[in-house]
Amino acid sequence: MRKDQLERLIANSLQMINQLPGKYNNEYFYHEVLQTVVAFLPNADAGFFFMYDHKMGKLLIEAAIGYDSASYRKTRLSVGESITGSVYQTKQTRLVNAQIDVIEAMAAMTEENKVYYEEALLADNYPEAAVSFPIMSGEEVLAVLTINSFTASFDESITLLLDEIAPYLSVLCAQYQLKIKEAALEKELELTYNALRNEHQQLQRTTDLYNNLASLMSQNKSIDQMMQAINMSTKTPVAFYDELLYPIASFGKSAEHRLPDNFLASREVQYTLSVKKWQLISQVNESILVMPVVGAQTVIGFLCAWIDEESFNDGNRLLLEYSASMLGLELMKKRSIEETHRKLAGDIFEQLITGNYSDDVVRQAKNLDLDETDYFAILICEGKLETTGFNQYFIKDSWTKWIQQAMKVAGMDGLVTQRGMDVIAFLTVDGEKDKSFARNKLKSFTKQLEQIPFPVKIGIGRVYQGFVHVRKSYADAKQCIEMLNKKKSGKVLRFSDGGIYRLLLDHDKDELDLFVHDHIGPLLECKTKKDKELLDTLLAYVTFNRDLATVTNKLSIHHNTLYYRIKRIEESLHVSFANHDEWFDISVACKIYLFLTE
Amino acid sequence: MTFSIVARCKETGNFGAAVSSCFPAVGAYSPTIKPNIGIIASQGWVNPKLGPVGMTYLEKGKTANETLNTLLMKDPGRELRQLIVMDHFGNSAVYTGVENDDYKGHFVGDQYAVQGNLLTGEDVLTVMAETFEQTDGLLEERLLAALVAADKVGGDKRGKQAALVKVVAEDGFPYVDFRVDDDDEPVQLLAKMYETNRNVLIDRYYEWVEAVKTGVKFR
Repeated sequence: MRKDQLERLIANSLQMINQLPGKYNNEYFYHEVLQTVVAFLPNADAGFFFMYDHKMGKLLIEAAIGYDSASYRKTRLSVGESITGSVYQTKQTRLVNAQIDVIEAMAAMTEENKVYYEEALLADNYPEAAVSFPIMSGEEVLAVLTINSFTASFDESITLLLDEIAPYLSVLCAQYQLKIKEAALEKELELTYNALRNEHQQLQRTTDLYNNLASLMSQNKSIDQMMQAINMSTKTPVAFYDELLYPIASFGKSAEHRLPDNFLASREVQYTLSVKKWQLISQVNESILVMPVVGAQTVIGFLCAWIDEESFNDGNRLLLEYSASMLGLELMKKRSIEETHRKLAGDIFEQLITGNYSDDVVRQAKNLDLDETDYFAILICEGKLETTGFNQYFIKDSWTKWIQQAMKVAGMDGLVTQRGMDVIAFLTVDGEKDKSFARNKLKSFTKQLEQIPFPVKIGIGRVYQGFVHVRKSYADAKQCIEMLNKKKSGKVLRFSDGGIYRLLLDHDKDELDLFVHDHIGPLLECKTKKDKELLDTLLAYVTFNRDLATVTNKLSIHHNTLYYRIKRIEESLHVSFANHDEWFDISVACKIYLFLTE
Repeated sequence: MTFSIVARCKETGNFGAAVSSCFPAVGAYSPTIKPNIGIIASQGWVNPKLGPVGMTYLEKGKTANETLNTLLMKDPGRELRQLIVMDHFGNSAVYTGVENDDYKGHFVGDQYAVQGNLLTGEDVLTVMAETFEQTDGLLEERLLAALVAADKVGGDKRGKQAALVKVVAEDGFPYVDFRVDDDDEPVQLLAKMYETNRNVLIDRYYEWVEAVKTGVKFR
């Protein structure tokens, strides 16, 4: 080939090669490259595009023209094997320009490769010529192109042409590989970005909650505010209960978010108590995630979250676990303070009821917000404790908590402590207020106390101003308990509501029995039903203070019947109810009778 | 009753694990490994379903932490188990349930993690991690070296019965998957099995995969 022809050919070839970058997105890019080379190389009509597989250590065919793909794809050339293998090894262009030479050069192939090659041939015979050249990437062979002609030999000068265009093809192939790598890296980057973003979000939420809770705790904010922060962070309704399931605080919770009736006895909670780890109580609509709040050694509460298992962000479980730890610390701190207060209050109480009214006591009381000039009344709560030890503590603790809650609701100030088997409360009212104000407040608080759900008796002493009278109020409260025990009905008694019963407590039963029998004995000795009616009529007549309408209504009798029965009673007892002294004695006897028999 | 190591090869991206246990045919239960996705290795009171279920989360792009959290949420027996989840990036999240017997623990390293329970001591895990880090070569050989070293310092308190080493490279084409189901010295036998047989498939693995894919004889 003349030099000008060669230069023109090179120029034309480069022009064709310049079209190739537009085909980067074509997944058959290597085929495009091969096709381009076959197109501009005079006499070329077939060829292979080989690439080296580093994992296998073999040259594999990426693309081919003029061969049967089912067969050529099986070819694996070792380094140095055949024309292509030798070009890979020497990194030099090789021209084999006669069929006999081609056959000879390929004779060194393995039996398998030879079979695959021959099966891939579309022509009847081996090609007339072959030229093979490397595509380099630096010092490394990136690929080897082996081009054949089945019709004629190649011009000797095409090696010059190939040496000229090979660097361009190298750049193109390297760029294409970078494109593929870039696409893979982009995919990897997206995966990394998403993973990092998810992890970051979780870390950020954890950090935010940690900072929030730590800050609230350091500022001595309430558990309520901590629960609000937990709810905001987890977007989940949450409630905090103590070990007896008294609600301490909740946030985002509605009436539907209740604990199941058998919560403490459930297998999940029993397991939680045993291993001190969270459990999930699966329910039809919303499940409950139960986080144990662990104190020094035992479970002291439960942080419960109502979740939809399908949509719940499982990372929130970690936040709730962490929150439970913080709540545990806060609850222990709170209880420790309460316990110290209770102990101090107990000490002061002991000193006051033993008459030890010293400056030290006054100072200590002041530390507990008890002022010497305030109004005081003592509350005693006692009940039957059928259990012992640990459970007894929990029962008394539940009374204490209930009374504290009732004081909170009624706006009643004071301190609650425990003394022996009893729960004791100092009820206080500001000393600058009127005494009647203090009495009224105590009255409304008594109504609140009547709702107490435990089998207890509560006695409340009279209101006194100053510490010095606390002993008296305590004695009053004790008497109230005694009255309640004798009456065998009612749970709460305020000393000032005790009426005549206060006096009766000072007398023994025989003496009282004697008084009753002296005045209404004939009615008590009656045997018949009719006689019993007379006693019931008299008791109602006294109880309702001779109000005819109320008594007849209560006994469901006609007023003439009542007149008749009253007449009979007066005759039996030999008294006249018109006589004030006799009526008074009969009234007192009836009261004592009720006191003894109720 | 088991100690194990899972790892991702920084050079090849292959995932692998090695396990020893006083439990017959431990390899039948765990680990679950998928190329380019990750590993789930459950032990203690093994829950075999955690592997395939967890793998679906990893395939969806969840991280090791997210996958572990989700698996724990759905497993009521979580406190009886030890669980390593290694994600596509080679990051591990590990959980050791409180009801596993002592000595129990886990350790997360760079692209690897070790876990064990009912061990003779903490050094079983330490030695396993150190040996893995200090051994060069193929992932399977580093895993085996770690397992052998841990076995030598005491391993499982109750004794020995089964062991495995497994590395995956191409989906559907087992690469290294040797198991000893019942033997007095399972780890030693496993190492011997590997040395004896590695040239059968492992050294020409990719050639074999290509041969299977293109339908040619593999000689």
